[in-house]
Amino acid sequence: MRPGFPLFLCAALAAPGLRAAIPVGLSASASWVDNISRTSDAATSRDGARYEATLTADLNRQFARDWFLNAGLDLRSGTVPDFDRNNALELGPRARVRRKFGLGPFAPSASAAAGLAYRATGLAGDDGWLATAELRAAKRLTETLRLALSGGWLEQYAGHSTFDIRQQTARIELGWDVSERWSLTVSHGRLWGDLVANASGPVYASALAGGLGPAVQDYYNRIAFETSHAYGPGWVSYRVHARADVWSASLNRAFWDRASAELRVDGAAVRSQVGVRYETDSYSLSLALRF
Amino acid sequence: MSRLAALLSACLLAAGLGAAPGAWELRFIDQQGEPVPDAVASLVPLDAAAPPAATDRPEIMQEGQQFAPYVTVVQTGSIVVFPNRDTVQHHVYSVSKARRFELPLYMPGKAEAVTFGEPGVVVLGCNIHDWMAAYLVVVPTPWFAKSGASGTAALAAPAGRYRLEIWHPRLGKPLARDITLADRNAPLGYTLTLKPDRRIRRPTDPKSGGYK
Repeated sequence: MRPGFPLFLCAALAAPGLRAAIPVGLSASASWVDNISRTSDAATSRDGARYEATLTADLNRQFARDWFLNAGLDLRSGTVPDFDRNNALELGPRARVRRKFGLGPFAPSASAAAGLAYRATGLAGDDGWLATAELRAAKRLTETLRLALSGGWLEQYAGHSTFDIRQQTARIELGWDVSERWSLTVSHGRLWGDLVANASGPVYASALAGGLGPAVQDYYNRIAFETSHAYGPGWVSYRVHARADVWSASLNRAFWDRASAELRVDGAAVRSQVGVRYETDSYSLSLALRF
Repeated sequence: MSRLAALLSACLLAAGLGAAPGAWELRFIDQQGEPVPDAVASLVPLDAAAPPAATDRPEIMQEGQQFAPYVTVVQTGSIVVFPNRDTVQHHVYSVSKARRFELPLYMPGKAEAVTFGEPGVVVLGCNIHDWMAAYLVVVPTPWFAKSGASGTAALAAPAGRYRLEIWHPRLGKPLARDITLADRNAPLGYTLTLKPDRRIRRPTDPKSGGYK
C-alpha cells in the first residue's frame, strides 16, 4: 500500500467543510489476548497485547422515506508488539442500506451491508483483499433494551492459500442502556468456516507425523500450511475448517455526545473438523471520538 | 380532583409582592423537592371564548441532533416552524392524535411550517435519530406559561374564571382544576409526582463484535 494515501485521507478529512458533511471517527484500543497465537497446544500457546487505531469517515443519507444509506471508508492499523509479523493495516470502503418498517424508535429495521478492504500485514502471504457482507434485523424492545440478529459472510483473498478463508456467522446481540451514560451489550454467535491457526514447528511436525492421532495426521497433510514465523522462529500457520462459539460483553461509558470508552471481553471456543480445540479470550479497553 | 388537592399546596411566599393584575406565579417541584422545568400551565377561560392565536411563528429547531426547545407551548391554530440547523438530514414526525405529520428527507437548511389546529400534546420524533424527542403542547388559550430551570412559570390573564391545566412530559395524567383569577393572586406551589425519565439514550459509536 502506498503510504501517501492514508496521509492524504487524513488531511482531506481534517478540512472543516468536508468534516461537517462527512463525520470522522477515531478510536484506539489496547487489548490483552489469551492465546493470541490461536494454538491448540496450551504448553506452547502465546499470549500478547494488541493495539489498534481506526479512522473512519461516514456519509449518512436518507434517500427515500424509510431507506437510509451509510457509506464509509475505514483505515485500521493493528500492532502486536511481541509478534510484529501480525501487524496489519487495512483500508477500504463499506456501505449499509437500512430499511425501517414504520415510524418511531420501536419500529423494527433490517439492513444489508457490504465492505471491501485491502489488508497489508507483516506476513507476506496474508496480504490481500477482505470482503464482508451482513444481513441484520434489529428491534428496540423497550426504551432501554435493543435486540439484533445478524448473519455475516467474510472472505479473504490472500497472497497464499493458507490465508484464504471463508466464514459465515450468525449472532444475537442484546443491548441495555443502563443509564444516561452507561450501556452494556452482550452477544453470542456461531461461526462456521475457515480459520488460520498456528503451531510451533515441533508441534506441527509431530502432528504431521501422527503424534496427535491418525485423523489429525491425515487432515494436516491435506490442508494448506506454511512456515510463517508468525509467533516465533519456525512457527507454522495452517488453515483449518472449524466451528466456533463466539461471545462478547462490553460496557460502554459515554463522556459526552462525541466521546466514549469501552471495556470489552471477547471469547471464542473453536473446534476444528477433526476435533482440535482452540480457545481464545480477549480483554480490551478502547476510546472512541467523533468529530 | 382529590388527587389534585393533595398535590396542590398553596404557599403564601410573597403575597402582594408587586404582582401585576391578573399575573400569577406558579412554582413546580418534584417529589424530591427539586425544581421542575418544562411544566406547562394554561388557563382556559370558562365564561368567554379565548382570543385567536397570535401571528408569531414559534420555532422548534433541530440542532446538534436534538430538538430545541424540548417543550414548546402554542395556542390552537398556531403555525410552528421546524428549521433544520444541523449538518445532517432529519425525518421529523408525529403520530400523536392531536397532529400527525411527517417531514421526511429533511435536508439541512430547510424550515417547513406546520399548522396545529387541534388542542393536545404532540410528541415529536426523528425517524433517523431515535433519541431525538420533543413535545409540543397545543392549548386552546393564549394564556399559558412554561416553567424554566428554577421551576417557576409566570401566567398573566385577565381576572375571571378559568380551568387551570398543568402538564409535564413525566406526569402520568395532566392536572386540572377550575379557579377564579383575581387582580392579585398569591403564588402557588405544586408538587408534581413525576415518573422516571425514560428518554432514549443517544448512542455512542457501536463496535462490531467480529471475530477473524
